[in-house]
Amino acid sequence: MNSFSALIPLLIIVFASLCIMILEAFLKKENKDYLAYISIIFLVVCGFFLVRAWNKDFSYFNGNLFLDNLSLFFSFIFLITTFLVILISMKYISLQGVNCGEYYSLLLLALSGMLIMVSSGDLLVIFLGLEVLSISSYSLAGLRRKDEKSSEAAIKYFLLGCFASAFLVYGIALLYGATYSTDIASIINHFQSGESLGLMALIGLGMFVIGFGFKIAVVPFHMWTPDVYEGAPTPITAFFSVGPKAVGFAVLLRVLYPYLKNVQDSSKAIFLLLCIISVLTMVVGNLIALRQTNLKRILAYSSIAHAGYLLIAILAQDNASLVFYLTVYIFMNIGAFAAVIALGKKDKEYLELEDYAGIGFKYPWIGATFSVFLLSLAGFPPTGGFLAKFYVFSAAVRQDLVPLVIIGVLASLISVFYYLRIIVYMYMKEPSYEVDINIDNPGLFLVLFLCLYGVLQLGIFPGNVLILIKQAVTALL
Amino acid sequence: MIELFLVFVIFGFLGVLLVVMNKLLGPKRSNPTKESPFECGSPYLQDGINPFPLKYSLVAFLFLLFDIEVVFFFPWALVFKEIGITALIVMFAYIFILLIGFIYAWKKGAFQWER
Amino acid sequence: MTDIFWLIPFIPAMSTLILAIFGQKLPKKYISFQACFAVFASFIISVISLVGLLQTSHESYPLVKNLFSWIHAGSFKADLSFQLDPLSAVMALVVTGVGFLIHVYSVGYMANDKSYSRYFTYLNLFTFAMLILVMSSNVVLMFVGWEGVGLCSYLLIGFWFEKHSAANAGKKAFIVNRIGDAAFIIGIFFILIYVGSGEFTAINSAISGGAITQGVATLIAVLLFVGATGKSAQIPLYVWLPDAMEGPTPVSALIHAATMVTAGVYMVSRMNLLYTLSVDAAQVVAVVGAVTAIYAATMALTQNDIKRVLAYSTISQIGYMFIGCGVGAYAAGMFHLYTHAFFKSLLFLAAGSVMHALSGELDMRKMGGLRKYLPLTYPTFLIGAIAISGIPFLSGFFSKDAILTHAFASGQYFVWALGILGAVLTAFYMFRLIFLTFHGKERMTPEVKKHIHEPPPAMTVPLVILAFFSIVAGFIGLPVVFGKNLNWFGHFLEPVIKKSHEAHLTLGTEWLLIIISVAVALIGILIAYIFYIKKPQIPHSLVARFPFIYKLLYNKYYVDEIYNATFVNPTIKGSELIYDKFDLKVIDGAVNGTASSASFFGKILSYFQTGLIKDYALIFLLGAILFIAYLLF
Repeated sequence: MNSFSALIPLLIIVFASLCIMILEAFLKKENKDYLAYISIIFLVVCGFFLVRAWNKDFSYFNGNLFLDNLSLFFSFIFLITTFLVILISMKYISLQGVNCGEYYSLLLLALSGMLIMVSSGDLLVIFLGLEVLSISSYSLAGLRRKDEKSSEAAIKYFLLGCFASAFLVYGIALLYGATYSTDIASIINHFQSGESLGLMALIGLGMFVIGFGFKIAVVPFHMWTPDVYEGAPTPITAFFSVGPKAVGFAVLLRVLYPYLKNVQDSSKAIFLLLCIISVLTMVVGNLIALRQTNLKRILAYSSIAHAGYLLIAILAQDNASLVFYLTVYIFMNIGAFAAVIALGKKDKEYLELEDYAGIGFKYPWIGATFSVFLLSLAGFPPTGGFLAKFYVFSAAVRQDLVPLVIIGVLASLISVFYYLRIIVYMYMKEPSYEVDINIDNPGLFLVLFLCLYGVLQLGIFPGNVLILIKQAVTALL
Repeated sequence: MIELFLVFVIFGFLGVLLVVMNKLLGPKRSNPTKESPFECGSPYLQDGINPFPLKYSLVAFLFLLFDIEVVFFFPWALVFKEIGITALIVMFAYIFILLIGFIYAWKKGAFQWER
Repeated sequence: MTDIFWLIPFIPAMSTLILAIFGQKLPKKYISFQACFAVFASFIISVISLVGLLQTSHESYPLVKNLFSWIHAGSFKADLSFQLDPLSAVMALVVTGVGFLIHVYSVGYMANDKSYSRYFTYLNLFTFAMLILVMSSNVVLMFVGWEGVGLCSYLLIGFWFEKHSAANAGKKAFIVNRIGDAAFIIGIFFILIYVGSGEFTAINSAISGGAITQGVATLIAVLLFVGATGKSAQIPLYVWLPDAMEGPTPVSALIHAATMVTAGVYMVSRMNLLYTLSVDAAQVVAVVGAVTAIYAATMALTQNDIKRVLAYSTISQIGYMFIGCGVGAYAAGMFHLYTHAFFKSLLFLAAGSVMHALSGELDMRKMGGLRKYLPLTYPTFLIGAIAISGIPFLSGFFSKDAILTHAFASGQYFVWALGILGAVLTAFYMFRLIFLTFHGKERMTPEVKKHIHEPPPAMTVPLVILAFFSIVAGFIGLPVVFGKNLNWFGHFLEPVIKKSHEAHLTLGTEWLLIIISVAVALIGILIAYIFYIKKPQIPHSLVARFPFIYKLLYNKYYVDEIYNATFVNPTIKGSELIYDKFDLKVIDGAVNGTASSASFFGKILSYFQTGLIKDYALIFLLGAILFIAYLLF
C-alpha cells in the first residue's frame, strides 16, 4: 500500500538527529545529559509507529522504500540496539570525556542509515543508506578525540570503508550494466531467465558480496575489525559489533536468498565461495581470538567468528534461523560489552584480561551476567546462543551441509576455550592489584538486566519471538 | 567480456605480489635511530605528531560543503515545472537540513577566527 | 473458574524468585509470611479449581492450559502447558495443602536457623517443581519437574552442609536418583519415538488406538518404573531415603514422606493405560511393591533412630501404593498416597516436635515416658500411629484395606499375603516407637529433661490439623461393604483411570478380609505392648537367641555395604584408574596439545594483523582478487 506512513519512522529518526544537533549547539554543558533522554523518547515514538505498521505493508517512493514485516522486524531490533547503546553510553561518555551531543546525533543518523538499508529493495537506495551509516560510523569511531587509538581507528575505518564501498559501487554498476536495473527482484529475474549476461552479472554480484563482506567483517575482509573495535569508544564498539553486521546480513539475505533459491546452475560458484568464506571466518576468527588478552579484541574476533556461523544460515537458506540468531546475538553481544564497560571509572577503562581476576566475587552481578553472556556466545544451553546455533546447524544439516556444520561445531569448541578463560579469570584467579570501578551507573545495569532477560527468554521460551520471525520472513517468499 | 576481468585479476594480483615480494625479500635492518622521525642527528624535542590548528581548512571545508550542496539546485530547477509543488516541499526540507547544519557550525564557532 | 489453575505452580515460582534475589535482605517475619502465603494461595486456587472441575462434564477432561511453546525443533514439540484433571487436582491439593501446613510448621522449627531465607527459598522452589511435576500435560515438562524436585531434595537434605554426614547424604540421594532418572529419560525417549509426542492425551490415544504393541509397552513401562524406584525409594534404589533424614525434619515430612517420594506412584497412575496394557510390567510393579513393603518393614523393627524408623515405614507404605497400582487398583494406590500424606507428615512433624523438646535427640533409647511432658504431641503422634497401623475408621485403614482387597480380588494371593504380613510388622514397629518414646522408664539425661517443653503454636497447630485429617480423610473412599456408592474418591478418579476388572468378591469375603487385616494390626500392637511394656526383657532374650537375624536387620541387610563393595568401590577404583592412566595422559595430553596447536595457528594468523593500513588493504585486495578469479574460472 502506497502510504506516507512508510516514511514516518525514518523521518522521526532523522528529525531526532537534527534536533539533538541543534540542541547540542545551544544547550549548556551541564544539561547535556538530557540529550540521551530526548533520543530515547524519539526512539520510543519511532518504535510505536513501527509496531503499528506490522502486517500493513506500507511503501512509498514508488515502492523504493517499503515496510514489509522483515524490514519492520529488523528496524525494531535496530531500535532496540540503539536504545541499549544509548543507555550504556550515558555514564560512559561523561566518564571518558566524550561528552557531546554529536555522539547521540551521529548514532541516530547511523540508525537512520540502517533503517533505509533494511527497508529498500533497490541497490542504489541500499547504497545510500550504507553511506549514511558508514560516514556516521567513521566519525563515531573517532569521537574520543584525545585518544590516539580512537583517531587511528577512525582513519583506518574510513580508508578501508571507502575501499570496500568502491567495490560495492562497481558491483552495482556491473549488475546494472548486465540487467538494466538496480532493483533486486528484477535482477534476480534476469538471472533466472539469464542468457548471455552470465559473467558480468556474476562478477557484479561477487563485488557486491565483497563490499558487504567488509561490513559484516568476514575473512579476508575483516582486518579492520580488531583495530577499529579497540580504538572506538566501547559503547560504539558494541554498536559496531551488532548494528552494521546485522544490517549487512539483512541486505545479504534480501539479495542472496532469492538468488540461491531460484538461480540454479551458475549459483554454485557464489555458493562455494560463500562456503569457503564461512569456513575461513569461523576458523580464523576463533583461532586468533585465542591469543588475545584485550577484552575488546577478544570480542572483536568473536564477532568475526559469529559472522561465519551466520553465513551458514544464509547458505542453509533458513531465514528464520538467521533472523533468530541475529536477534539473540544483539542481546548477548551488547550484554557482554555492557559488562566490559561496567569495569571503568573516570578516564580509565579496564580492558585487559588480568584486570578481570576476582571480579566475579567482588562485583557478583557484573560477573554473573557477564558469565551468562559469554556462555551464550559460546553456545551453552539454556541460553539463547545455544538455541540460535542449534537452529542454524540443524537447518544446515537439513540442507546437506554436513561438512560445514562439522567445522562450525569444531570452531565453536575452540571458541569455548577463550570465552571460558574470561570466566576462569573472573572466578578462579586471585587479583594481583586493586580494580576499583564506578558502579553508580543505573542505565548500564538496566542494560545488563535487559540483555540477561533477552538471552534467557530467547533461550528458554523462544516460542513467541519465533512466531514473529516466521511471519517476518514470509516477506521474502 | 572475460578479458576485462582477467586484466583486473592479473594486474591486481601482480600489484599484491610486488608488495609482498618486497616485504619478503627486502632487507630488514632496523635500529632505533632509523625508527625515529628525524634523522638529522640531534635528539628530537617532542613527538612527531601534534595537533595543530585547522582554522583555514575548517572554513575551506565548510565552503566546499555548502558549495557542493548548492550544485543540487541546478537539476532541481530544470525539472521544477514538471514536478510542481512536491518539488518545492522537497527543496524546503533540503534547505532546512542545510540550515540546521549551518546553525550548528555557526554556534559551534566554526566561523570564528580567534577563540 | 477453572482456567486460572495455571497460577497454582506460578505463585510459588514468583515467591521463590523474590526470595532468591532479595531473601538476604528481607526480615524473617516477611519471609515466613510470603513463603507460607504463596503456598496457601496456591492451595486456595487448587480448591477453586477442584470445585470448578467437579462442575465440568467428564468429556472435557483434561482441561489443558498451554502457556507457550517451549521447545520446537522439527517435528518434536514440547509446550509449557499444564493440565487439570482429577488426578492432578488431587495431587495439587495434597502438595499445596500438606505443603502449607509444613511451611507453617517450619516457621517455628527453623526460627533460629541462620540460613532462614535459603531454607524457604528451597522449600518454595520444591513446591513449584512438585506442582510442575503433577500438573504438566506432557512427559517432557513432567521430567523437568521430576528433576526439579530431585534437585530440591538434594539441596534440602544437604541443607546443613557444614555437617559432613548431611552433605554425604545429599550426594548419595542425588547419585542414586540419577540411576533411576537415566532409565526414566530413556523411557521418555521411547515414548517420543513411538508416540511422536509427549502429551499425555496423545500417549493415551496411541495406547487405546493400538499404536503401541505390548512388547513396547512393557519396555517403556519397566524403564519408567525403574525411574520410579529411584524417586519413590523402592527396591533396589531405596538406599538413599534413610540417609535423607539428615535434612531438617519438616523437609523429611514434606519431601521424603508426603509428596516427592510418592511421585513414582503418581507417574504410574498417570500412565495407567500403559501399565494396564503391559501385564508383565504391572506384575513387576506389584511384586516390587509387595517385597519392598515387607522388606522395609523388617528393617524398621530394629532401628533406634526415631526418624529412620519413619523413613523405613515410608518406604514400606509406598510399597503398598505400588501394590495397588500393580494389581490394577490405581484409585486405591492414589487413595493410599492421599491418606499417607496426612498421617506420615503428621508422624514426622510430631517426631520433629519430640526432637525439638529433647534438644535434637533422635535415639529412642534415650527417651521414654514423654507422655506427660508433651501432652499435645503424644495424642497427635498416637493418632498417626493408629492411622498407619490400619485400625478401623482412621484414614489409613480404608486405604490400606482397599489395596489389599483389590490384591486379593485380582488373584494375587502371594502379594496379598506379603501385604498382610507387612501390616503386622507396621503395627508392631509403630507401637514399638510409641512405647519406647512416650511410655515406660524415663531415660533422658537430667539436663535434657530440664528443657523439655511443648513447641510454639506455629508447630502445634499444623499437628492438630494434620491429626484431624488423619482421622477423617478416609471417609471419602469407603469400601463397598458400607454401601454401594460411598467410594467417592474412586468415582472422582474414574475419568482418568481406566476401569480395571471389577473386584468380584462377595460381601462375606470382603468382611472376612477386613476382619483379617484388623486382626493382624491388633496382633501387631499387642506384641509390641507385650515386648516393650509388659515384659521388656523379651526383646533382649530374642536378640540373644537369634543374634544373626538381629544383626542382619540392625545393619539393614548389609545392603549399603554390598552396594559399596559391588558398585561404588569398583566405580571409584575404576574411575581413579581411568583418571590416572587415561585422563591425565591421553585426554589432557590431547587437550593441551589441541590448545597449544590452536594457539600456535592463532599466532601465525595474528602475524598478518600488523596494524598497518596498507597491509590490511592488501589482504582485502588479495581476497577480492581470489574471489573474482574463482568466479571467472
